[in-house]
Amino acid sequence: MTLERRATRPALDAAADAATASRRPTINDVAALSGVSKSTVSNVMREPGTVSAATRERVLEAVAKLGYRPNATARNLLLRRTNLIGVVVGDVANAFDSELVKGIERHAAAGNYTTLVCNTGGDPRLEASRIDALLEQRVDGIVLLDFTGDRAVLAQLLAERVPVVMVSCWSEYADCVAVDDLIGIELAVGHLADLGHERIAHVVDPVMEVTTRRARAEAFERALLRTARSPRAEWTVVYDASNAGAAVLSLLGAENGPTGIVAANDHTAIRLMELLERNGLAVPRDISLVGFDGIDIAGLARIGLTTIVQPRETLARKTLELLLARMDSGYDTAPQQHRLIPSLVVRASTAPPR
Amino acid sequence: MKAAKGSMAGQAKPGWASQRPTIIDVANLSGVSKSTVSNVIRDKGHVAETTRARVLEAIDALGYRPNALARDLVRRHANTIGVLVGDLGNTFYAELVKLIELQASEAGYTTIVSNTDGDLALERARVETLLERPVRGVVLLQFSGDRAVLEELQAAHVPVVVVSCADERADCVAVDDSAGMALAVEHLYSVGHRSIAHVTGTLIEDATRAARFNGFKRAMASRRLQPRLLSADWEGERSEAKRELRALVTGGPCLTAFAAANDVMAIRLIDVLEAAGVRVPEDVSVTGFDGIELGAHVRIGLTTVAQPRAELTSQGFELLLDRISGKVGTGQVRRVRLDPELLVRGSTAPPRRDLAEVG
Repeated sequence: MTLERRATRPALDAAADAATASRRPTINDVAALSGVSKSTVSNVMREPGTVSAATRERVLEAVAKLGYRPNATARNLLLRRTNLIGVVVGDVANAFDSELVKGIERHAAAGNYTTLVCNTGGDPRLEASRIDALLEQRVDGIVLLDFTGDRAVLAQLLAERVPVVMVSCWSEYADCVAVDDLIGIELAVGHLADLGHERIAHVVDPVMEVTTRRARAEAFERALLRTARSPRAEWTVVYDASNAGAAVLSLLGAENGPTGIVAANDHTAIRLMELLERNGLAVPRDISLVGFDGIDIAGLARIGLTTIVQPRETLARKTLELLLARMDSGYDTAPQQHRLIPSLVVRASTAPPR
Repeated sequence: MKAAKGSMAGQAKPGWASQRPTIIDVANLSGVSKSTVSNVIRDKGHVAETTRARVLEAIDALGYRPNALARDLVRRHANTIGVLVGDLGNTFYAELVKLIELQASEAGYTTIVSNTDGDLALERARVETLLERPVRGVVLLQFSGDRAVLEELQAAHVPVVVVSCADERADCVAVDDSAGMALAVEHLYSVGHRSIAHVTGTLIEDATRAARFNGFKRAMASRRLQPRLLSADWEGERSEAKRELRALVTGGPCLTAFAAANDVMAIRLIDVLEAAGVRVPEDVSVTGFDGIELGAHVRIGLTTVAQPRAELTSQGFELLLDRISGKVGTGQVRRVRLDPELLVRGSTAPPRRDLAEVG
């Protein structure tokens, strides 16, 4: 880059070649090559203002020549790019989030970007402070896997002209890529209906990102209407682990209770399976269970969860494409929005009602 | 938002990055020199109150953020803790991350997490990235044991704590991996297993992988048993590896039990075994290590060696805070050893009679 194009003396070249031939260059090599002390080199890297321009120039030249920390300080001093992408996650313990993060990391690494991950637990205050921390790190862009819907946060990002992509969540103001929740939930409800289930409930994850949760809950109602089943408000319940899922158990224990459940995500479905079977209800003999997301453990033979699979790999790839495009174009173009089509994978957690 | 003048327009790539306000914009707006702005930010030198107020106003108006690269400018105020994690896809670490975040949050810190996938080169790169940032401290959840990484952190005077794996050279909180593997082996031995293999893989950092394998070997040696090692490379539907695995448990002199290096591997192993028609625990027994939530699932019932997650993180964070506050000086390394606990569930049982004597 710019640094490499500068003329260097032949003696420097020879010294540099000797240093780089054998091993990774160290700060000592930089000091030796530029004829300054180690602490001066360190000052140039960390507190450039404290070193004279001429010395700084010489040190940076040596840094470039040796390839010392090639992707960090020296180049950033010129470009003011950090090659960092901030990834904001709702719940790292939810495998969908962590698997998607890993996919995004792979694509980011291919584009020479490093990711920093923040976990919000779905808490708007934590979300705001973590995004603030990411901005303090001067990330080149931010990926939101979860968004609490706090408009102030989004407004701040847009105001600071930070490229943002929302993946698996949605806002009309930002670049987004997500599956079509309505299609996904319709597939789930349709599958249970085809098996003969008349009474179907929807169970929600309290930590889940709010726009998706709302979208799936609304999709659930519409899907029921479409299959000529009347939705009942009390049949959409939150699975709350802190009170041992009492709401779910009392719903299922009621006379003429539901025979099938569409969970808002796999994470919740797998916990529900645990809850039901510990309470003497077998899946699928007593209750059929459908998840959403298609996380790896749902496919374990012992779990065997019927679920709606999100195309994770496409989500991750598309996310990086959108983000890099936004970094290039700035905010002069309209938001790019992509809906992907999820698919139904039938496993052992669903069967006709008894 | 004011579009800042592209002070480095000649060199910087066009795009949003060059539109962020710089220290020069702050200087221009407040009518002072760059070094005065810097003095205000660093709280150094003599700056008149009225000037200071003007600079702060300009900083506020522009939404200027001091460049993280000039990190000493902001280090004193940074309230971010960096967390380096070996495999975010392993819920054990995801759960540790959440606990660390809770601790950090209560102490007024925010956290950023960096995933290394157990890869040494990635770990180095991520540490370098963190060192370029304004972070107050670093928590290593899993650490390869790479000397250079640690030296770099220590040379930069960044407080470090290693949580969930042991290291001689830094503050650490960990369970005794050897003692943990001994618990697993002794349990298998006590129900009658003599032919036991250790299952491990590359997603575990080198240091922990070595510690658990060594612990396994030692425990086997103390029972005068032959240690066997199996690499968990059957992922990706490689039927060949699966056939091999099946042969190991159904062929001539065969294995009757597996002590896996972690729960994720143990749970995958059970899946692969059962897909090959080998029943757990009827045909072979499997133990894990870590104590993740999924292992307790009624459908999984994994016998495992559990690590005390809450203690690991609370004590680890305490060590880090002591370093950050300067309560504990350099040259003093503190190590906390916690006891792992054997949880016996449904994945272990006595070996099949027809196989028990072999080995």
